[in-house]
Amino acid sequence: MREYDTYKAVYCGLCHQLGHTFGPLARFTLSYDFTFLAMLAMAVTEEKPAFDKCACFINPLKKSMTLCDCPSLLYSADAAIIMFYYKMLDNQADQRGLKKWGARLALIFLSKPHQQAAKRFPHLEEALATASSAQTQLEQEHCNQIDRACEPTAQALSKICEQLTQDTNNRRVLNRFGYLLGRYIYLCDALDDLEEDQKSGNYNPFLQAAEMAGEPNLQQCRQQAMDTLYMTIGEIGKTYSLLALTNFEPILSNVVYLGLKHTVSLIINKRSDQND
Amino acid sequence: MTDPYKVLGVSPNATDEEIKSAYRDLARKYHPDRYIDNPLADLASEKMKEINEAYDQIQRLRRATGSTGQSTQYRQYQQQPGNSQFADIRRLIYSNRITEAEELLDGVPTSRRDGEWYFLKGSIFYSRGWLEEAYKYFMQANTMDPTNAEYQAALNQMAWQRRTGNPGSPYGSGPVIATYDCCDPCNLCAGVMCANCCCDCTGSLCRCL
Repeated sequence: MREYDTYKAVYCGLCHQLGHTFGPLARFTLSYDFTFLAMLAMAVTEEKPAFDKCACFINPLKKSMTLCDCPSLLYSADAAIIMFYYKMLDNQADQRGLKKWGARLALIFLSKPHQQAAKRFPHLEEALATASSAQTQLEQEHCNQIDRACEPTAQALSKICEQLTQDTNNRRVLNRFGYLLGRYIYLCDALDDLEEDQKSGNYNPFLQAAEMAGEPNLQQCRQQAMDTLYMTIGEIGKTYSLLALTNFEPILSNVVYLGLKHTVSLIINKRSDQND
Repeated sequence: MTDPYKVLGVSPNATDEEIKSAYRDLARKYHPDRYIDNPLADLASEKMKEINEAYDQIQRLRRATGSTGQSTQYRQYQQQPGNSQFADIRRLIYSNRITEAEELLDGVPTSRRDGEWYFLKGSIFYSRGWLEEAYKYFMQANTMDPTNAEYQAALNQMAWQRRTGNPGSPYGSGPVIATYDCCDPCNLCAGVMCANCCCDCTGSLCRCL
């Protein structure tokens, strides 16, 4: 199988796992982040991936290679559900209008899946609940220190990744890898929301940090975001190269060495296109 | 015993040149200079040892069968703090006892806070993954003592990553091969795949919390 096909098969596998475990609506929490987590999980365990041809949920006529349900997919599906649950709780509290009501509705459907997932992996629930409340507190304090603002997401991802294996060395590496990945995810999100947050007055770490030095300038904020993101990506690469992997190595390396940087440029370019 | 060819990621039929090049790439990747102050430095150095041993073993095997080759050992890295006024704190940092190190460091009166103090404070932040703070403190250390090679290496490494997003430093203190270029063979072949992937991505890696 070509590498790209493998990646797609894991993506489809996660979608199926979400559907089987939590019902069809849960499939909408599907994302590339958790596809990565599932691959990472299988890469640090001895788990042998099994593939099968399955019909796609969105397009039932299309049959594609799909990774079969397995513990790594279940772990990622549960992580996705719990994370989405807290995201919606957060939206319900912060957002206005459609987003707020959307979050309310989602929470009704998420309540049971969230309970199931939390019961299966209590440490996931604990890590993400802690992150969520730490995040709320930071925002209320208008935290203007970028490293501190990243801390809740980074700590949560650190715990999520660390738990993927029992191997002592890999656990140490995954602890730092997860931390840096969480930092990266949080910073990317903050960069993506920069304009919107400036308009709505919502909390954004880059705006808050820039406010200390005077009137926040979007261009400068974007540069600051790029700098710190690149520094983080470099560090992620160094940490990643110390992991002992059994599966999916080429795809994971691809995401780490090229995909992370590419995502940043996509966000930056999307913004400059809109401004032109 | 692990297969030395596997360690270097080459086929047993690879030419001497190919083996040398694979060894060089790996040695650059795990070079101790890239892991200074890193809480995982010991793992990198183990990896480096493994690579060196594999390379030497292949050289021995090939010499025995008449094929030529020479042993190119990368210099093993040694931490040289020189005369430090904070030797105890350094020891704590190297053994990953970060909280204790920070407590001691924060207890140092302001009048004794020299370049080294800022450097060590930066190292503590670095170890925690607080990269922005680490960068600021390394910069301050460098401003206070611009001739110190240790502070300079730490700052250069971060500045390089900040600029390029690539791991490691092109100005490390004395590796045989000092440049890291982003067009590694492994990256090149991966590039095609990545372009493919990204066309298909709408969610990307940044939409969860």
